[in-house]
Amino acid sequence: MRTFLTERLLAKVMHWSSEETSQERPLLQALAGFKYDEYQQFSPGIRFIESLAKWLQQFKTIEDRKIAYNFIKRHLIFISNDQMAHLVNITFTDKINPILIEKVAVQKEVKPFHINLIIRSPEYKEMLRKSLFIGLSDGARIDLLRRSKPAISNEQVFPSYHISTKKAADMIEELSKSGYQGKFNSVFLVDDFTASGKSYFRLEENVFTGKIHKFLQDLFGSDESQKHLKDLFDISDGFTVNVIFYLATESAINTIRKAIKVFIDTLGIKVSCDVQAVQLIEQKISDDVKGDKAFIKIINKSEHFDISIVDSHYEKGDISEPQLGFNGCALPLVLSHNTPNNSLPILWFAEDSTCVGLFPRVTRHKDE
Amino acid sequence: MSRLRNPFVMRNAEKIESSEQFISLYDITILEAITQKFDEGKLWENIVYIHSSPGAGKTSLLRVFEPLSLKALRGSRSNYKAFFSKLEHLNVLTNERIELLGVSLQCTRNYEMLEELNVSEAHKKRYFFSLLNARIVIATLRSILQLENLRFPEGLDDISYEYKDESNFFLQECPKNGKELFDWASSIERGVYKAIDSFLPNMENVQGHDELFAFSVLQPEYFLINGKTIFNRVLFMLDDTHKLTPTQRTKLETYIRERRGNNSIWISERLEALAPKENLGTTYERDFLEINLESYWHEKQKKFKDSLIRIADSRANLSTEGLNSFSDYIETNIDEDDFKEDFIGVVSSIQERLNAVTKHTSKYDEWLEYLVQKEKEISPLDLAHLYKKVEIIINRLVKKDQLSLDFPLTVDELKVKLESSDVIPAAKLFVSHEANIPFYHGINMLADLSSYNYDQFLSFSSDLFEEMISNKLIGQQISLSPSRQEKIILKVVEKRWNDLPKQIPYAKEVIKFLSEFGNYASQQTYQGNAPYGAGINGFTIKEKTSGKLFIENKWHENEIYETLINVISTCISYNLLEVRKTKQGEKDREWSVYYLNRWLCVKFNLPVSYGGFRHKNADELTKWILK
Repeated sequence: MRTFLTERLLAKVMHWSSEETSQERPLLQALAGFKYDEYQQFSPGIRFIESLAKWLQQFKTIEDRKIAYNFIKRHLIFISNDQMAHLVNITFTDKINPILIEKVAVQKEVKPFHINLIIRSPEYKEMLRKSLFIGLSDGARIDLLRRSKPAISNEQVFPSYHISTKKAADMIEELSKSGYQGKFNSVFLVDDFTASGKSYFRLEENVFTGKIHKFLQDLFGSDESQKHLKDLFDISDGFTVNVIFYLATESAINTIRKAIKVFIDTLGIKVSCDVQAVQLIEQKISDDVKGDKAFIKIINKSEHFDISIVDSHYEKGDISEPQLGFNGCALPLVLSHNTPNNSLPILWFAEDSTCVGLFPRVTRHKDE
Repeated sequence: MSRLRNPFVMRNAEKIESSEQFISLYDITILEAITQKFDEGKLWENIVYIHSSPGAGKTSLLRVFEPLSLKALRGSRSNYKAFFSKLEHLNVLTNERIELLGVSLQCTRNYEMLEELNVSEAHKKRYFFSLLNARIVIATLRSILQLENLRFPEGLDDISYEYKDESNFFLQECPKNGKELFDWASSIERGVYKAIDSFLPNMENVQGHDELFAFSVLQPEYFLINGKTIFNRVLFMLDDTHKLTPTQRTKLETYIRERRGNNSIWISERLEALAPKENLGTTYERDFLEINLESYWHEKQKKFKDSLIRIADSRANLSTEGLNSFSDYIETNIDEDDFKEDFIGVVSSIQERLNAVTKHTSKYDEWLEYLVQKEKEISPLDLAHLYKKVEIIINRLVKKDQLSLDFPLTVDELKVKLESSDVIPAAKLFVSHEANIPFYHGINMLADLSSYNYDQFLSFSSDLFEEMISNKLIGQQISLSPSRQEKIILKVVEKRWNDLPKQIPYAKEVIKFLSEFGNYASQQTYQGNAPYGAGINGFTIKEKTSGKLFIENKWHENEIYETLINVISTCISYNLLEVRKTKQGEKDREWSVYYLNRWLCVKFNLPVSYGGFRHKNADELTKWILK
């Protein structure tokens, strides 16, 4: 009955005739049931249709509401928990294994398409065991990734890029116990999502920073406190650093690739480093959002933007058009556990905001 | 039992998960067709083909006889007394136990791939039979487990198998229990899969069978649990055999026909499985029983309508939206006041046309005076109908063009003509058309539009029901006005028409043919003198005899009409044309009339009644496709 009342409210907010209601209601119920209701940051008792009714109500005219509703129908991309788990499950097969096969092919001097020959070889088994899988955040689901390929040992997986001296020594010892002498010769840095790439590699006041930078700096830099990393990895010829995101924008991948290249060139080291996404979010997606002039006009109105979101963390990105999201990414994207700040703020304004967000976001970084 | 917002969208029997829900939604009227065969002593120990186009209820009918449905029915027999007693009459179940083991086998899984193997035809047949044997055995064991509430695979050990025939078809030691029987069948199935999956045609380890012996080795007396038989009869139901390749279908049919034993075998398939010539009514003498669901309903129209209303109401009842009826919310009559001006407009137009036609003669003066007199006595709708009837009658008389004296025709003569059965429906149709008032509305019309096909009925009623619940949601009157009904119906029709190219073979030719015929029928129907009364929406195919130098084959045996044969056969297979037999002309000659499916009548603005058709020859029809 509560759903019935909410749907009635929605129909009233949208001034729907029975014909329009008949058309829209099955669609909304299907979307809600199939995905949107699983959003983890809805308040207790709130589900997608309730949130949608509240969200649309903030637009004053029926014309604006229709534009906003059509925007959601046409552009919104919701990545469900199942979809993200699927991306994790195919990461080894689609992204990691081809890299390992290629490396073994070079080592054995055979063509990389001799897949059967390669993956049955002892060199492949060694190459796999000498690969270290590191999660860059708690969203990396490194445990799920490990389980997706039973041949990956628990001793070659670590959920953080800060590796202690003791842990490094343990991992080398376990490697030795499994019959392989020496150090790890590949590292896979894994995370779930990036839209701007800024938290992984960025230039701040002419100084590089970001998670990937920190890891590479520790590994290749001269900081004595990180010496144990040099004992963990064999950074001579053939060492590879692979960054893999389950979901990433085209522009973030390019930004990180460029920054890593500049960093490696600056250090003058010889290392192969690549960045990939299992599911790439094409630039066209945010271009289409920006091309929806009617909706952009609405979110440009002052009453539909809460300036309080622009804090010191938000300012680390481009803030010339803050209503387009962090770094002006203009994404229409929602992840089942939280909405990224690179999406349009009108989609994620928090519950204490002056504006209503459709999928309210829980902010990780906050100015106190 | 799960509830849905719009239960009308739930179509296929396979998709209704719970057996209890299936039983509650199933309308038992069609079981009368089965009962009729039973009463004639032809139902059991016989081969019965169940034919229809998609959506007419074949799979649902078979599901009734599956163990889970029978158990659900027996468990709730107090709620479904009529249903229970119908099946009790058929000796399917009793108060004590279920007597029939329904074994259902979908013929949709990988059979066609056997035809692609690079082996001889004889081998293909052997592997096809061995796969069928294996799957029938597995399906039978599955049904027994369901019937006896046993779990898979542990329950297989509880089933004793005592095969007593001397001929050992198993080519090994005869299985002794359900588990051994299952292992035997599984190994065959696995072998065939392995061969299909391999790059090379490696069939060495696959057991091939010359005979479809599964039917004879799965007799009730061979299966025991705790030393007792479990059921009295097995019904083998092969569903969707149209998915087999034509060769496999022929092999299956030939074998079953030639080796018919005392087995009860039902084969359910769509009309598309039939070769064009079979579809066109030239089938060889079949020595098996056929139930064509659509034809059965056509002979029981009233029962079919009642059945649809019951189905619709029980579906509405299952909705989460609190509507307990469907039919109650379908308004039957238009509100005359809403269309008063339109009726007056029609009357004025007819008056103008009548004045033009009658100004040079006094022959119709009394009739025109009668009309003026009636203007004050009857409602605008009745007046519009009356005027239209008179216009049709005068147009017919003018068309006859007979020389006659200009004596005025009397009102009494008019009154006789006004009661003519072909004038009344034509006038109603024409007034609706001219005044642009809803014609396709009401529960009876909805039943007509289904063309004896449940799926078609549900496709219309699902959109209508969605709007009813929307009305309820936004606080408006739930019932749908005739105008709204017609708009929704037109929308569904348009969607079905636009979807045709994705669904049928020879789509371009079929669409061209239907468009040409639809437009032709519309033009014929709406002639001013209404020569075909209620209009036409069908045709017959008349053999052309004049002007021929030699006697040709019948049109459907003549290869020059191949395109037409394919088009008409496709239309029948996909229920775009309905074939009805009718007697007309010299010596009550019997004709096959090809009527447009009723939803296509809506597409071309035609009436939905049967009876109006034109004779055409194959050349004329072919021109419609090719021009």
